[in-house]
Amino acid sequence: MTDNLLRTMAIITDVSAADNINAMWATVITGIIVVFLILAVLIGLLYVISFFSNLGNKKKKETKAAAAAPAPVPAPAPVEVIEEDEDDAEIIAVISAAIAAYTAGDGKSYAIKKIKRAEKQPRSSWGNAGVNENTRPF
Amino acid sequence: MEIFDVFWNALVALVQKSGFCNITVQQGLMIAVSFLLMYLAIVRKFEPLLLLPIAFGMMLTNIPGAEMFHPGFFGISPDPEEAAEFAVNGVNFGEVLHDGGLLDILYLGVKLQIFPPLIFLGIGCMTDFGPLIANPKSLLLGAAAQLGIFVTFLGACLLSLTGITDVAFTFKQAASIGIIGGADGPTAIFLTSKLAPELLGSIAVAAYSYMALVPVIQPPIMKLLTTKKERSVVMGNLRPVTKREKIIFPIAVTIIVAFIIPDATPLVGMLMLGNLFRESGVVDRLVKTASNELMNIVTIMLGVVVGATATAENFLTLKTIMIVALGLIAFCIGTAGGLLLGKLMYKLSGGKINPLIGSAGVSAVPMAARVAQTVGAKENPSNFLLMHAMGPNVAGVIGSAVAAGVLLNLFG
Repeated sequence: MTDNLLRTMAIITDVSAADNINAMWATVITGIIVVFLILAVLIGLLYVISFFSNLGNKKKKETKAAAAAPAPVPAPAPVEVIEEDEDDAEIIAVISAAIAAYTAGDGKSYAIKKIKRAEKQPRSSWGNAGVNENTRPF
Repeated sequence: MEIFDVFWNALVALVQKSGFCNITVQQGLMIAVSFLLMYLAIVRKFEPLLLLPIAFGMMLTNIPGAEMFHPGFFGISPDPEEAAEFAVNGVNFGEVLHDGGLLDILYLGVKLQIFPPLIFLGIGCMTDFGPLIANPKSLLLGAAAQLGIFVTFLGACLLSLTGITDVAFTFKQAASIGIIGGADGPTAIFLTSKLAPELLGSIAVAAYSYMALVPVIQPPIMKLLTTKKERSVVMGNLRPVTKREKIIFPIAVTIIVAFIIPDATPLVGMLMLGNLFRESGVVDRLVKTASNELMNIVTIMLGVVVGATATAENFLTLKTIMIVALGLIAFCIGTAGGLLLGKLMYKLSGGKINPLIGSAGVSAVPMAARVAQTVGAKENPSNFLLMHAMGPNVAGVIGSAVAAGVLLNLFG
C-alpha cells in the first residue's frame, strides 16, 4: 500500500499531466482528503482545548460559589406592589403625543384603541445601524 | 556647424535609444493592461493595496530599455536558451546582486519565499480566531471551500489532454492555477513562485482581481444554491472564548499542521506566530509593527515585483486567458463547495445553521464574510451573520495554506 502510494507520488512529481491520468486523479483525491482530515483533526483539537479551558473555569466558579455561600437571611418584609398602570399612563400619553404630531397635517382625527408591545427584535435599532454601517460598501 | 552636428547626432542617438523607438506592440499592450489595472485599483477600488503596485510593476517591467527586471536570472524567461541554462545552473545569486537592478533584488524576496510568510505574519496579527474557536465545525466549511483548488487543478490538467500545446499545463502549473481558488493572494504567490514562477504575474493578477470581485461573483451562486428559507436562518449567539483558548490555539495549530504537512509550515507558522503576538497581549509593539509598518513595506515590495514578472512574453499568451477563465471557475466551485456543505449542516442541525456562511470558506478575509452578512441581511434585515461567517472565513485561510502545503508536498 505504502509502496504503491510512494510510486504514485514519484509519477506525479516527474511526469506531465498528459502522460498520466491516474496521477491526476490521485492528486485530487489525496488533496481533498488530506485537507479535510487535517481540518477535522483541528476540530477535535479545538474541542479538547475548549474542554480543558472550561474545566479550569468551572473549578474556579465552584470555588467562588462555595466561598460566597449565602448567610441565613431574615424573612423579607412585605413589599408594596406598585400598579403598572401609573407608568403606562405616562407611556400612553407620550405615544399619543407622537402620533398626534406625526398625523397633525392630514386633517383627520384618530382614536387610539390599543397599544401593544412589538415582538422583541433580535437586535436594537442601534445594533442594526451598526451592522449596516460595517457592511455598507458591499 | 560642427557643434550643431554633434548636438544633432546626440539628439538622434537619444531618440533611437528611447522607449518610443524601441517599443514593441506587445509591450505597448502590456502597458495598456497596466493602465487598466491601475484604473480598477484607483477608481473601482479593486484590492488597491496590492493591485496598484502590481500594475505599476507591470508597467515598469515593460518599458523598453529600462531593464528593470531580468526574467532570465530566475528561469522565468520564455527564451529556450536562457531556460536551458537556468535548468543546469539554477539561480546565480552573485550575478543577480552584481548585474541585477532594484526589481531583481526585490524578487529574491519572492524567490526565497520570504514575502508571503511575512504577509501572513501581519494577517495573523489582525485576525481574531475567536469565532472559529467558538464554533469549531466552521473548519469543515473552510475545508469544503478548498474544493475549487482541486477541481480547477483537474480542469487545467484536462486542458492539457486536449493536445493543444498553447493551453497545455504541466502538473506544477496546474497546481499553481488551482490555488487561485483558495482566494488567498499570499498563498497563491507562495505556491506559484515555487512551482511555476513563469506564471506568477498572470496568477497573481487573476487571484487579486477575483478577490476584489467576491461581492460580484458570490451572491448569484449563493442565491442559486440556497432557498429563501435557508438564507433567512437566524443563528444563535456564539459562546464567549477565553483568553487561554485563544493563546493555546495558535501554538497547537502550528504543531499539528507543521507535523502533518511540513511544507505548509512557513505560511501556517507565521500566521499563527502573528496571532500569538496578538492574543498574548504582552507584545503590543510587535503587533503594531507586524500589522502596520512591516506588512505595508512587504506589500509594496511584493506587489511591485509580482507585477514585474508580467513581461509581455510571459503574459500575452493563450495560457493567461485560460488562467483567468480557470481562476473564475476555481472561485465559483470553491464558493459552491462551502455552500453545499453549509446546506448539509443546515439539514443535520435541524435548520440551525445558515448555509450562507459556507460561502465565506474561500479565504478573502473579511470580504467573503461581509458578503455572507449582506446576502443574509437582504432576506432578514435584523439577521447578523458576520461573526458566524468569520469562522469559516479564517478557517479558509488555514485550509488554503494546508492545500498549498499538500500541493508543494506532491510537486515541489
